[in-house]
Amino acid sequence: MHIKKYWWKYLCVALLVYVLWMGLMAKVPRLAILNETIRNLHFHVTMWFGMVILLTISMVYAVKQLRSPCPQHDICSAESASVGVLFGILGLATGMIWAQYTWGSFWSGDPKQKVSAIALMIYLAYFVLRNSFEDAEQKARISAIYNIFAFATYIPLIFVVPRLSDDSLHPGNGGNPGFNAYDLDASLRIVFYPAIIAWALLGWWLVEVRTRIALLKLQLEEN
Amino acid sequence: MKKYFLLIVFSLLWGGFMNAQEKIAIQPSDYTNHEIEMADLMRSNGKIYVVIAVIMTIFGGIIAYLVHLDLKTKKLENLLKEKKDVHRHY
Repeated sequence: MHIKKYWWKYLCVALLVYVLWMGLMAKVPRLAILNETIRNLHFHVTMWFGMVILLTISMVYAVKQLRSPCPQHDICSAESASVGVLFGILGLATGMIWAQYTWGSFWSGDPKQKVSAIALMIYLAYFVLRNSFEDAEQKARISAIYNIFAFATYIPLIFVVPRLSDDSLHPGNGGNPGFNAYDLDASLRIVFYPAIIAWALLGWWLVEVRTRIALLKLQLEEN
Repeated sequence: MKKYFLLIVFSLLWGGFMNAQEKIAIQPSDYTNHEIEMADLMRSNGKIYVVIAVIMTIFGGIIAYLVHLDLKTKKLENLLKEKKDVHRHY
């Protein structure tokens, strides 16, 4: 395991150990309703950031695929979306657990919760679309186009729509004071930003391994 | 392109003045008050370290599995490369 080539994997593990430790041990503001759950900031919110990063990568590879078609681009685009969806499901699940104990119920009808579920379904439809094609070239092309449109829908859905809504439970949306006050606080920042990098790196590691396995399969089928 | 550049700059400036959601500053008392319940008991009797140990174990297990997958994939890639090289030499 050469450090030069795999430095980012070691960094990922180191950062995750740091985040898992500091996430529980660092001093946090003592705020009403949130109590200790404010620590979820480092896990739930950062995981969503990781998802956005992965889906952006997926879209970038979809564009690459359309400009210069090759199996690597197509597979990387699909696998990034796949791990992105995994992070999305985990983000939604952790959000629901958090909501149960702070907002009162698992599904609180919050706009951001709703659009997150919709966004997830848009990307699940992407995989259904991929499976409906026999021809590899057509599959790659059509799913790349869908990916770009899906991403163009995804960004306004999760970033703009909740802020426009009238009543939201999420901080920073629908009339609530921005969470910026909390996550810009120094004691939270030192875990928050490394956590984003850590989850993004972990997601990318998963994508890399999955891409390599998919390429192996492709090569074996060709022989 | 120039007209688009001006449009972008204008919208960024205009957007910068929009304050739909206000920010609330953190007070020092947010760290030292005793009214808000936190897991101080878990921390004072050291049981928090049990939680950390559990989490680290789970994390360690998952990372070990990921590394195992990574190495397995590498082995397969090398095998395939060898096979290809052998065919080429013939």
